[in-house]
Amino acid sequence: MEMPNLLPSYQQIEPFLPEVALIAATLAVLLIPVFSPRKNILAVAITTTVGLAVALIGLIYTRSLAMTGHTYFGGMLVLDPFAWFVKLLLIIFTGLVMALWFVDSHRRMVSRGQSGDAPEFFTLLLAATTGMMLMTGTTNLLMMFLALEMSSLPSYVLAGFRKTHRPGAEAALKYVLFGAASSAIMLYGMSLLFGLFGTLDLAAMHPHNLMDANRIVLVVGVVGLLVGIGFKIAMVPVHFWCPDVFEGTSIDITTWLSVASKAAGLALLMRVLTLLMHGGDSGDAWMRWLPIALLILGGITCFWGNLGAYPQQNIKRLLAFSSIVHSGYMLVALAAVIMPGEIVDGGETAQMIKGPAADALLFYLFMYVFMNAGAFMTAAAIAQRIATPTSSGERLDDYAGLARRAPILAGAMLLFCLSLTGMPLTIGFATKIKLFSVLYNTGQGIGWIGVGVVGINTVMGAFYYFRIIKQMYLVQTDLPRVIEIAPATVLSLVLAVPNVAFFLGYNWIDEVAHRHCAISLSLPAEQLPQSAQADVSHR
Amino acid sequence: MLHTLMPILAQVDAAPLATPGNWTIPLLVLIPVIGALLTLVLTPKDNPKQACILALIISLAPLAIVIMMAAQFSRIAVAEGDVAVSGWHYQFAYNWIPAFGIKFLMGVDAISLWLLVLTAVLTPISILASYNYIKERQPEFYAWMLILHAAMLGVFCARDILVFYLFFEFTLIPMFFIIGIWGGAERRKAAGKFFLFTFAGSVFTLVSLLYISYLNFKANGVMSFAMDDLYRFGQTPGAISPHVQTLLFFGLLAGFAVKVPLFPVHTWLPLAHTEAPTAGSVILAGVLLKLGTYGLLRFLVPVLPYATQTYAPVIATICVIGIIYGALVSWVQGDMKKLIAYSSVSHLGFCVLGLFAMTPEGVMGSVLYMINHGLSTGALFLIVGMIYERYHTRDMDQLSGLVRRTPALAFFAVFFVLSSIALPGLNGFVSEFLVLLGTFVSGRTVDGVRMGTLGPAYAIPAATGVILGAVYLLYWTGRVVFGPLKEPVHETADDDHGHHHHVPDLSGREWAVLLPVAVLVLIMGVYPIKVMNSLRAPIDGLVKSVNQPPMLDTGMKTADASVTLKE
Repeated sequence: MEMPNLLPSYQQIEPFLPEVALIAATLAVLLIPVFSPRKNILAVAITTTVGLAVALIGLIYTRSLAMTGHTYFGGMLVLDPFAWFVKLLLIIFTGLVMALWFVDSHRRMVSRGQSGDAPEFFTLLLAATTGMMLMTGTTNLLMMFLALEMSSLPSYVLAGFRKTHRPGAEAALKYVLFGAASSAIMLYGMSLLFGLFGTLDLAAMHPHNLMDANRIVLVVGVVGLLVGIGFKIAMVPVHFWCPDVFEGTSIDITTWLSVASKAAGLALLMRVLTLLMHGGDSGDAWMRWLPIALLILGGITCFWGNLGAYPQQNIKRLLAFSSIVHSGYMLVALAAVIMPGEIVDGGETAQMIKGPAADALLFYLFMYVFMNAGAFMTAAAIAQRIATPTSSGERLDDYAGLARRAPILAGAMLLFCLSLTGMPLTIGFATKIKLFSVLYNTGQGIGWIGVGVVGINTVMGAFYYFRIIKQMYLVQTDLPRVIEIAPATVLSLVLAVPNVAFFLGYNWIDEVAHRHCAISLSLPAEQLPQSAQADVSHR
Repeated sequence: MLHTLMPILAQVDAAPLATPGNWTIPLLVLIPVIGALLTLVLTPKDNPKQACILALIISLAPLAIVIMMAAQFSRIAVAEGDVAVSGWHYQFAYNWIPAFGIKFLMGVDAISLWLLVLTAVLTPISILASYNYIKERQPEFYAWMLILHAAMLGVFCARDILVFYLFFEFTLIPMFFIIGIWGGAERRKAAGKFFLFTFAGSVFTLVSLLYISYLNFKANGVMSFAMDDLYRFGQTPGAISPHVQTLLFFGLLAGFAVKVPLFPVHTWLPLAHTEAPTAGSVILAGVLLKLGTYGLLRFLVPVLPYATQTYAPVIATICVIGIIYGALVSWVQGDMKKLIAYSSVSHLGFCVLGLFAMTPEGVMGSVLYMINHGLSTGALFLIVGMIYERYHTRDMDQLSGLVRRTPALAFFAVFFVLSSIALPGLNGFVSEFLVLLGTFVSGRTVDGVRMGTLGPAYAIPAATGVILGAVYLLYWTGRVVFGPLKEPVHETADDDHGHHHHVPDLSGREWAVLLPVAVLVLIMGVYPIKVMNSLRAPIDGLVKSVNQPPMLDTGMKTADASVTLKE
């Protein structure tokens, strides 16, 4: 008797080399303390770097596979241009966070005579990254949940990583509780969807064929999904964890959560919604309410983030609210992406689809990495340079006269603030015009509403970004100049350059985003839509 | 290289204009930027005042280029007639963002040329005027001035509306710092208010211009922000439906009106002008306000002719209110800088009124007004700055009879006041008269085409602004320049050695600051015909395109659209 072959073949594994590399690195980092002295930072650094490098090489190696879009493991995982691009962003960004940890948190801990807990930190970081990468490439509800939890659980621990830090512990607890609640709601929504369609595969679900009586169940199910994913991207009303966690954790985790978590969450949301909206008739009520709901949620998120940012005195908290605002912008863009009747076949095979503005979201995500991460990293560098025993260097008051005290870092911060405001010559302006044009291109009334929301919020945002600039440049101080030459400064400058360079190279980024915005639709034969359709119609 | 260098002006022999090469304008914009970096790097730490000299020398380079351009314009005009210089010259094109249709299109026509001249003249002057005024962080100050210079030059050269907007918006950043760091006591508030007002307005403008280009894309299938494409699209009858035109009109207006500033949204201006350092006030009043009127002239009016005709009375009413309101408020100011700041509200009302009169005279007056207001008001701010440097006050109650202490300064003060109140023979008269004339005759029909929608009903109340302008400025002159000698106590007190504290008259540097402006004021007042001739062709083209009858009402058919509007 022949044993069934449970091990996947190389052909099946090949498209997921990056994930495999990261899992291997995760395990290796975890085992380092067993074999080497407790404080062997070097081994951890090398292992993590090698892991990320291999993942990156693997990713580049799988690009040609990704461009055609395929489904693997019985529909569990998908590799398509869209997933590939977001994975690329995630890997690059994880590398940046790693660098930030070494130049900031680690140095600080070592200078206080504490061990950096590097192995644990990187185990968690790499595990979460793996989870996020899986999030970007699945159409299966079960896999979606697993991936989400795989990225969330290490994130909870990372939020409370500073064991002796009280606000950190509080933040982590809040994070866990909110996370658990939203996961539960999401699971509930998923089970309703499963009950409704008899399949876990989103691509096989066809909400358009449902009978009216089942619509309400569908709506509850989708809302559940939205809550679960919205939690990751700090969408109002499930954003409450965001400011506390961002303030309570060390700045590397803050950066990580504000960018990576959001990128993965948005990628997942876009895939889910695009698939749910695909193939419908634009006259369908279902098709109309989802973009509108998303637009409203995005709008509320923008306003909430902006209003919340005004009273903030802590730079990390302020940037946390600013990142909520940018989530809102991306949700508004997403509303345009899934506008009914516009989703078209695209990519290199007919088995891929894309929204009319799918590239806009990728474009935005790409730019956002450099704007937001740059602002956070500069805040880290500034805090590191100006912190005194009595102040953390993270309050806006500490920024007074920074232009005199630390001209390079203040200049970098100025650039990031201008970029986040959306001033010309920065990538913030590029994202702004991209967003507006995407909304116009929907050619519908709700596009106009989106334009209004984004326009008003752009102006509102200028108020608090310019508060930072005013503190740095217009306020005088007698405090001495600080020494700016530090690895953290270099890191922030590395991120500052693309803020201008990518604006000038707008066209290139736009083309890259355009090439990678298609989402795979291909299904294994046994799950082709017609069977699902038949299922649904007799329900 | 990806760039394509576009041919210059088909109908004339382009060779004379082409000699500096098509890279003239990029060079023009880049020189100040590089200069700003040089100023930061090269200024010796122990002698920061050298930053001023360095910046001055750098800012003379754009002036030289602009003068060279003007010389070539006039050479062609002399050789082949004024029509030969209409259209765009020194064109530069780089296909910057093909995916989004943004081209780096630059070019100069007569209107932009004279505004470039204004910018290139005022910047070195205001840099020189700051030599003693700016006492700290000098290299930074001059670097921001040069960056601002580059942005302003860029605005006047841009022929792609997004590139225009880019420069337009970018001017905010240097000005924010110039007011916020080197300004007076309330500088932070002033800088914030200046920035947020203008930024809020310009977001509306951005949204509207993106929408126009989207409409163009929908109609023609090509994404373009080139002004010429959008003119063609906007002037096509029926291309943009009337109610969309209305929305776009007020959307675009929002940003430009704040910058001008028109009456209800002018509130940022007095504070910004008062708190800014002298150089900041000069540039703000002299050039930055013109970005608003230039935007109206260059984009709003030609792209939305229907809405322009329909809403011209609304704008004109706002302008008239602004003219009278600005003048009355000016009259009661005790702070000299505030007085001149409010006078700008009044004067810019004239400028916009002339533009919306949509007659050749009105628009000509409006364009001249931009230049003349920049010279006169810029000079008045310089004068107030010089008084402030001597007495450390701008309070009119504390000063009087300056003519006894500083006769030369008093002479220039009176001279520029007269130019500002439009004394015949000085520059203000030409533009103010043309604006009022143009408004008065607006609405009449010439060869079957109705020119503009205004009329005496707007010109007459606006003309009261002329009288009021004379009232508040002469009132100021009478109180401060003439009258019994009165100086702030601490300035006249004897020092320890019993010597009387001496208030000097104009220094050589100050003569060098004021004299060029005075000469230009005189030239523009006595012999403006050169400038006017060169402006005639582009202005006639503009007026003609806006007064295309099909948009106005169906009652008036355009039997002959080719009619010339030459007077």
